Amino acid sequence: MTGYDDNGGGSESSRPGLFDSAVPEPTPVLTPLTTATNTVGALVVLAMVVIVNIDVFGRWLANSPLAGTLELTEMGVVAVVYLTVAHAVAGKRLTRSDALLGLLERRGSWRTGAVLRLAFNVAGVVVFTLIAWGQGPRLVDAWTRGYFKGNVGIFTAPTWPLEAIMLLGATAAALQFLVLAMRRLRDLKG
Amino acid sequence: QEEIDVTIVSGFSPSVAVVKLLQESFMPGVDERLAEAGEYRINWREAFSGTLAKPAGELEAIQTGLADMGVIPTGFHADKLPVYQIGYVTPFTTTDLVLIHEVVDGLVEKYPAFGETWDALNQVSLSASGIPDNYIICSAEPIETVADIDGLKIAGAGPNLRWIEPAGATGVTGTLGNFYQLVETGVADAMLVWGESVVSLKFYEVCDNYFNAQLGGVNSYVINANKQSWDSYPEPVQQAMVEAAKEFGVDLGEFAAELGEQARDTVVENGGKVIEIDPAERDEWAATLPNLAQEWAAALEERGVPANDILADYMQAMRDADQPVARQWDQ
Amino acid sequence: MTGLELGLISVGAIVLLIYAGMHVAVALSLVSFVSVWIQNGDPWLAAQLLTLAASDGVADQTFAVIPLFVMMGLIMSASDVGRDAYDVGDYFLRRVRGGLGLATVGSNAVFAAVTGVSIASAAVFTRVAVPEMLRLGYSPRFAVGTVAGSSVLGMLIPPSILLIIYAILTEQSIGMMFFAGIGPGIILSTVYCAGIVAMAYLTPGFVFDRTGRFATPDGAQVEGGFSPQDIPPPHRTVAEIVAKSAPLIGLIGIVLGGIYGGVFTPTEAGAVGTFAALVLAIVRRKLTLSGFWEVLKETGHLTAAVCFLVIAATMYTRSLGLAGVPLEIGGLVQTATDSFLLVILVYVLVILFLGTIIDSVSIILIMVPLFLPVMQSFGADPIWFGILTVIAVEVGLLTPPLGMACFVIKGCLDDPRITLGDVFLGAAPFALMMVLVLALLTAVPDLVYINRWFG
Ligand code: NA
Ligand code: NA
Repeated sequence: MTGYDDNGGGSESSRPGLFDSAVPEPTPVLTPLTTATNTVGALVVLAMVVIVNIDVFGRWLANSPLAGTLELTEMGVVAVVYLTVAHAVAGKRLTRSDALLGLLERRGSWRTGAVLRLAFNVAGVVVFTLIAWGQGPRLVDAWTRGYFKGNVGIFTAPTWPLEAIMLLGATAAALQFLVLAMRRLRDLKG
Repeated sequence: QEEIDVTIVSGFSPSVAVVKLLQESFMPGVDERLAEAGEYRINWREAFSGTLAKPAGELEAIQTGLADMGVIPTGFHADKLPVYQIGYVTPFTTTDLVLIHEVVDGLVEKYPAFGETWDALNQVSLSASGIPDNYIICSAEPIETVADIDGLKIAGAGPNLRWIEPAGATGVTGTLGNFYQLVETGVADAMLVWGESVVSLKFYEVCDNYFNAQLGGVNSYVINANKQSWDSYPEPVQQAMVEAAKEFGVDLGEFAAELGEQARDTVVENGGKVIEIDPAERDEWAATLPNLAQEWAAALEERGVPANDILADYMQAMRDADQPVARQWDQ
Repeated sequence: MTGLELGLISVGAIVLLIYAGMHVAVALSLVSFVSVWIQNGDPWLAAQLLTLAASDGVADQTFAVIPLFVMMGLIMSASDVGRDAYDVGDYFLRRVRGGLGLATVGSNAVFAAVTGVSIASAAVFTRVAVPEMLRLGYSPRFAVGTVAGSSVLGMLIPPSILLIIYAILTEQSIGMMFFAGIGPGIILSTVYCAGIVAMAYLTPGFVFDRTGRFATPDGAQVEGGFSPQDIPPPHRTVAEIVAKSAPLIGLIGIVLGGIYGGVFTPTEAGAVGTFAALVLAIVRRKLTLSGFWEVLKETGHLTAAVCFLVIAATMYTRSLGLAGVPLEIGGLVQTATDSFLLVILVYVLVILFLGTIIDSVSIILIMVPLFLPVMQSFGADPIWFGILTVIAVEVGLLTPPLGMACFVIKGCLDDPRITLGDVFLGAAPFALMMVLVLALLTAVPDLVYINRWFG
């Protein structure tokens, strides 16, 4: 069944269980990296909850909201997406319709299915590579010109860390798709 | 006759004044001028309402060439357009938006620092304009004096919050999209907005008291074009666009002033109160603000921008026009 | 190639790719990229469109609620709050055919008063309601379909992000739009309830799981001809029922009280609700440190999956905008007819069609400015038109290939035996009931104002 494990959380074969976020076959460097960024992403989620609560209760009880909550939560959701997307790709959590692939499996034409899966993973490589490609200059600009979010004198946060997270996340997601594509290719070869 | 395709972008929809006037002033203004000679015709492709970029996303859309031209809300880009923040660091200066438009355009012409801002962003700026002709406080309970502001939670956009916090208010960071709800539910007691928005966005429904604090207006938009697109336009087209952009600045200012006047009537019709700030209180309030303009100028001077001169010119122009300047920000 | 042709081809390509099984976000992004490349002949520019949407597509407070409400749902589920609430629903509604479906609709309507985004409703109730319905003998399709259908109440009953967007776009009062959402929200809930009871009697095979495959060992076995309501409920004392309902009522009380008491905004409610649910879980000793860590990581995954869909939908919408498709469609329709009912029909059909592939907010931004002037020339009430628009747009949350509510439910399910197809099929009856409500509101426009219901 090794050929059918990238079903995006779909068919009855081998989707990782809910809280089982382990990658089936670890890849050197990439797997530790995505696990680490995923951990940071989880911490960002926690930080968002904490920050908004401090802001709300500070404003309500002490008339002193937390400056920068708006900017931090806006940046936070983007950070969470890119810190966790590669891990989500590895764990086959991106949404897809598996009706046709399931049908092909049940009909026993696994070769066609594997070719399709190969093509879809390559498409994933292309899309995330494009995003990373366009992201490069944005990171350079944010770093060299000191771009920030927020308002001078109240709260400002540099945007380069976020741009770097986006570049890193998109690159890692592209590589994860590449790993999945290589595995499908290996299955096809034999 | 040559046809030129121009994609024009704004993250806002035509119900927002700036886009409404693009459609009613700028675009027909260009068309009319070109129709006289009959040599060129613009084929406008409207990319409004976020179909190409969100509000604040226009800058990058024009920079990359996804759009040929559009309006950029400068207040969202304190990091990229620091020199354009002059209006936000000089409150209590003027309530004449047409004057602001003309003075800022004059500064842009005189000081290359404005134009150089755009070189790195791959675009050219045609004209500066604005929509808040005068920031006021719209509140659920009437504000009779400045002392009443103490202890209020006031919703406002980021750069404006430093204007009201010295008066004892707690700033609640919001956007035009959620001010209504913030006050309706009571998360905020009031909002720092301008007259046009009180009418257009029906803020009078939740806060029917209008405290004319005369915090003043700011330059808040520019009309820009992508550098490559701009260079590809024939000279008569460029000229028509610049002229129409300047006229747009005047029209937008007049529109805001007209609706601002209307706001007072609307508030009264809805059973609310319009209260004018006492000029002496206004001066006192202005004096308690941190020296926003000097902070701004110092940061820019460090980068080699003659911000002190720019500031002095701006304030002098306002004094020359007999504006109710409550604080000499350049002194 | 005209914009319209390009639009149609790209729609076809997306439908094909998604049904073939390509990741939805990848398909949308790829087609957007190719379509912009074809239009402009510049691959770098096309890549810029992707990158720009990738950075600003979700950089908004509206989307910050996604991780917050997702996490609230996960903690509520982990601390058995959902299970208890459903035991209560079961206690009162067991004797009614399809009773837990009614419980889902009812609790969603209440939760809708808390959240402004349907995605949040879908995420929370997938975790809270689906396992309980399966445990008590309902079929998986019906369970996920009910959650999908009732999640749309989140954006119809105020507060609602769609109503706010419409109000701002058309210069209507937000307060008035919110008020006009209440009546239709109640009507839709009622139609759902009637539909659920009818389905339970007429098509029990759709509502109940006769195979017993999905019921857990401690759950109800409804093999053979039995249905949940035929099995006597376990005996519970009044004290037990009160103890089981208190936590959820408490949570909803905190969140609703906070919003309407002026303590926090609906956006912030997700964070405060999460905090409250966390305190509850700790007090009940239901959440270990490692369990909490897993909740955090799961929240990250779901956020990535959902937000990437939003980002990709943004890319696609913009590629269509660049091609001028929305304007062409609008122009086409405006010149076609002068019969009011026909215009409404065409409008709703276009929205339903766009709803299969474009996200809800974009549809409103694109379609309303094109049609509102036409509507007003017929003297139509813009508030009524807004409610009609929001319901029509929300049908799109349930329809394939791009049905955001269904995607979220699929993403949040922890039962791999339930496929995306099951979710769409389960949601279909609810989409039909929404169309029925649309017809009802068109026939009797006054229904949107709850104060006019009784004279
Ligand atoms: Na709601
Ligand atoms: Na859909």
